[in-house]
Amino acid sequence: MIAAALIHPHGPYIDWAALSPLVALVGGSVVVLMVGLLRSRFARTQVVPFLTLVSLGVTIGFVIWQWHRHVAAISGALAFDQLTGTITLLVAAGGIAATLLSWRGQAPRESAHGDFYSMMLGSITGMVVLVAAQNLVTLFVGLELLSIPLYVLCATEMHRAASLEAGLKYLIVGSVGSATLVYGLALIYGATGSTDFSGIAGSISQGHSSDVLLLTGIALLTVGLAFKASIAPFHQWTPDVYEGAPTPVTAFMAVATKAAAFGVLLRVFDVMLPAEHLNWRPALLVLAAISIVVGNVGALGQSSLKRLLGYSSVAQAGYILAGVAVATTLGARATILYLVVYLLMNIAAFGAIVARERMTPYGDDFDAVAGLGAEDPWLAWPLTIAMLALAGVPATAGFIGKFFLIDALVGAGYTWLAILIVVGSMISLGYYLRVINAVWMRSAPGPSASAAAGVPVIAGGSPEADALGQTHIELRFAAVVFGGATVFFGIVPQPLFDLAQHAANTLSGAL
Amino acid sequence: MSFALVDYFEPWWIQIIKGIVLFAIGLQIVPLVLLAERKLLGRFQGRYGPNRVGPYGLIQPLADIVKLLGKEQSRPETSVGPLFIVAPVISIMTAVGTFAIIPFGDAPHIFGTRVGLYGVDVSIGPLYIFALSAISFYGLMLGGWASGSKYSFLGAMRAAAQLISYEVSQGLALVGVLITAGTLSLTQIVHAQEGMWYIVPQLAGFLIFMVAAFAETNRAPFDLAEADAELVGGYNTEYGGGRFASYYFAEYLNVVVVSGVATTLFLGGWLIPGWHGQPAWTDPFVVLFKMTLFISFFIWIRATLPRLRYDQLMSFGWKILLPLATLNTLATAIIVVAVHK
Amino acid sequence: MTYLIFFIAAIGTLAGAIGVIALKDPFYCVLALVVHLISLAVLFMLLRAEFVAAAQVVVYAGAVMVLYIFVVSYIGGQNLSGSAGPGRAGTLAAFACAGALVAELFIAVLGTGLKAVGTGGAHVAAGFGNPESIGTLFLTKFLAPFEIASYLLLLAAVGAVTLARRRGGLDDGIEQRAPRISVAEFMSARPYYTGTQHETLGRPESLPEPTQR
Repeated sequence: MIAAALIHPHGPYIDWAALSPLVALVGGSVVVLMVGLLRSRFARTQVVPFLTLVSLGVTIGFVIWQWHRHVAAISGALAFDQLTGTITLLVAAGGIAATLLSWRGQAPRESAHGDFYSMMLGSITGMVVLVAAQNLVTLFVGLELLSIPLYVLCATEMHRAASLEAGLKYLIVGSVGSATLVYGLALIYGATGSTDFSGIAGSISQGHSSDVLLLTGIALLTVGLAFKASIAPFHQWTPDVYEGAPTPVTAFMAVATKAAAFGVLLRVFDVMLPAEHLNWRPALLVLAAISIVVGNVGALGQSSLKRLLGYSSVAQAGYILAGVAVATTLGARATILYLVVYLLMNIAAFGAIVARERMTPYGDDFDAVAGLGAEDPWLAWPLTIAMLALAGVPATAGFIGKFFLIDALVGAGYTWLAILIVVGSMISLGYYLRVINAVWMRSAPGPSASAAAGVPVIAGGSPEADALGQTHIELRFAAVVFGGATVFFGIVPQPLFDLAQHAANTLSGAL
Repeated sequence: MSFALVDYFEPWWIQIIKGIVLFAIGLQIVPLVLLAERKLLGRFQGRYGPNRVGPYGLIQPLADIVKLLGKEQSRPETSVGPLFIVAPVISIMTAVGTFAIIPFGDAPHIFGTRVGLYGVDVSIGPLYIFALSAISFYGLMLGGWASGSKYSFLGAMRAAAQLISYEVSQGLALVGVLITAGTLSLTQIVHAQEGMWYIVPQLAGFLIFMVAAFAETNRAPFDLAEADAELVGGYNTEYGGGRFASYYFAEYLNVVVVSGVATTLFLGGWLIPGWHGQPAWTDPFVVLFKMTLFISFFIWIRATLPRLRYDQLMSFGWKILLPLATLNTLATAIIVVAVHK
Repeated sequence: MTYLIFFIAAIGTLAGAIGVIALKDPFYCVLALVVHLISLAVLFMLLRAEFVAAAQVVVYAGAVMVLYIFVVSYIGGQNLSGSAGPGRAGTLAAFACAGALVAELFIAVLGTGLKAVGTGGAHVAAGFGNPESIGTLFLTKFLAPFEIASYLLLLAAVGAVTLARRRGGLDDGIEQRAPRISVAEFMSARPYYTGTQHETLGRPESLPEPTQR
């Protein structure tokens, strides 16, 4: 028989202060869900996004409050350290931006505001859990909590077949990724006999390294996470889903999912598997190289801005992965730095794109931004800055990010990959400059064209609810703030260094 | 064998004998239930019921069985052969399998050997019942689908939807009992009722369980699957002869099993309140008596209540029964924690 | 006996898994999956993990697959080959990738000695894997994933409702709203001529005369 102690177990100590960011997110999502059920139209369309922002703001506040603590909460299942804190800040910032972008958009209206924002907060919770996870079970649950709301969010513009297709495609591909990942986790558990990261690391260092079962497990785990981070050749879903999903959701996916996926890659490879780095490093380097080539070449011929940014995100994922692959503190620092920079420039770009989608009938086509420079410099400049930063032009934050990645790569002796990053950046100018060309050099298409195009094909589709030419103050705000930050941190990068240094120091014990 | 939570060892031959005896009991109870149903229904409706075959019509079920088994085994051209044949087998197997865990008593010494008066006392108790109930779904569904007839198919769909809808409430209703007893083993649940039968503290759970049990067994007023006015005869429309008899047998055995489960979980199994020196040989008879009460209740309800409409059935299950069962679980958990502190 | 059951269940598991991908009719695919899951439950049972076995049957065979069966038997059986599949090269590449993966997994599983676990199987205490110890683990070591999983289920339900809900104003109005029945309505007396017992048997003098149409 089982001892009486088993029947009346004592629950683990719960450090609510450390958990407070998670509590704010979960509580916010439940409150938002409930408020979304109110009859008042004002409550649903205005209060719900506002409460979402409040919840995210409180989360950020709690992270800053708990910044200097390093806690393994709830039986050591979740680690709230500075890596978790940094990624939480990133995904919360991404969430705030996505909330602003979708405030008056079509997607929340179609899927009910409460549900939309509640799922977004849930996905953010999943990202935090994923990065904080300290054992394989929590890792998988966090990944699913990240993914499942996202699948639905992609499909929230239900009247548009492309949005539904994006949701379905993401669901199927994402499920394959999850299945691969969980298979890998099972093999790792089989090879090491532990589900805790520390236990696995200990088991590996005690002589289970280079076990074929473990290596296969690591391979499958890498593939599963690569699906989430859209690393080539596991990126095929990315352009389609980015194009089909509602644009605010695309922006959210691009920045927040990427931050969480790379956060967990850092955690897994640098905390759980550092002893195996001789085996996984070549694989990650090759994946990074493939991503850089595939993403940059694929983006060249695109005519849809979202698709272009989709391929661009594959290329950027390659750059970031290079930082993970070198497995040094410098590399980890460069990775985190680049994630921050990536967030800034992408939100600036997506803010402008969402605004143009609602103002013009061209959706996310190049025509939508043609002549933007003359017409609306407050959108044109953020978009231009974002494109230049994505290409890595000096005096933008993008340059700082790439510089540190290259520095880390060269320092670790992988000059060939550093050269590849530079070459990739040069190729990328080919498509980023096309956007800038459209913004400044081309003139806006004539009014006849817009009349012929009729109802826009993309978000903001119903003119009576979402008058074309509205001011879209929140979109401008997002674009200008994040665009300005891109320039600011390009000139004054020290705060970013410090942030990345803090986060990377968490890992330095393992490296 | 850790599957059963027992602290004694039963030789293999005792297990075989137990299996045979239990199967024989089940096989004997069902015709009696059939007869009782027809007799009682007759009385409820102001007529005699069967009274021609044997004294007081007692041999009637035997005649029915002979008739059924003697009939031709026909099957429609559109049917899917193997599944059509296998479906009733699944139904009957799950029904008999569930019968195995109903405890008819504790584990007394019979001729110097300790024998548990049950098939097996599984450590997962009610979960075993739900697992088999989940498989019994395939008996109905495959039978209806493989018949290749729209009436069968619709009947199977109804039966299956009903089965899984009410299984949730039924399971949640039992959680209250499990929390109170602190164990999943059915014999230990009975022992936990020595102070008080769970029908008293878990009255809400009991009522929910019984309502769900009517739906689970496809009995009136929830016998939508066999709504002959709309569906000819439900998922077994196309079945005849022995295969129909199997379905029929499984259906009534399910009634018996549910009565046994209700007896065990809510009416204190073999316990008689206030009698402490109860000899072991009375246990099975006490259990059988309590089961008879439930079976009569099933028949009584059938004679009394009309059939619901299908959407009523579904909305009742999901919108009323499930929230109630959840509330019951929640309240029980809170009370148990508060009392234990 | 144990070996016999193991081989029966193992064959069932493999045959079910192969059936899922090899069979043409989706209904049979689902049935093969059911066979697979139940055989898997038997294997769990052999490993003395009866709780996992029962949960496997209740959750997968009893709930998830039931929904599959519903969907497939309502809309399945039709010819679903709407779009052209990948070309010959694509199919070959897919098979090559799958073959490579299978080979890799075989190497992994056969090539390792399961060094961390040992060939004799893990040494587990008596009562390992029974409901009590699983519940204890859920409430102590794995409390965080357990709670997060419940939140995940909530969000999945929200997502499912979001996708499946009827929308006012956005659909083209062809679809009629199904008649709803409220709790109050359900508990109140039926309107006449809906076939209640009261109507058929009880107090006919209290019924009004049916109006002529």
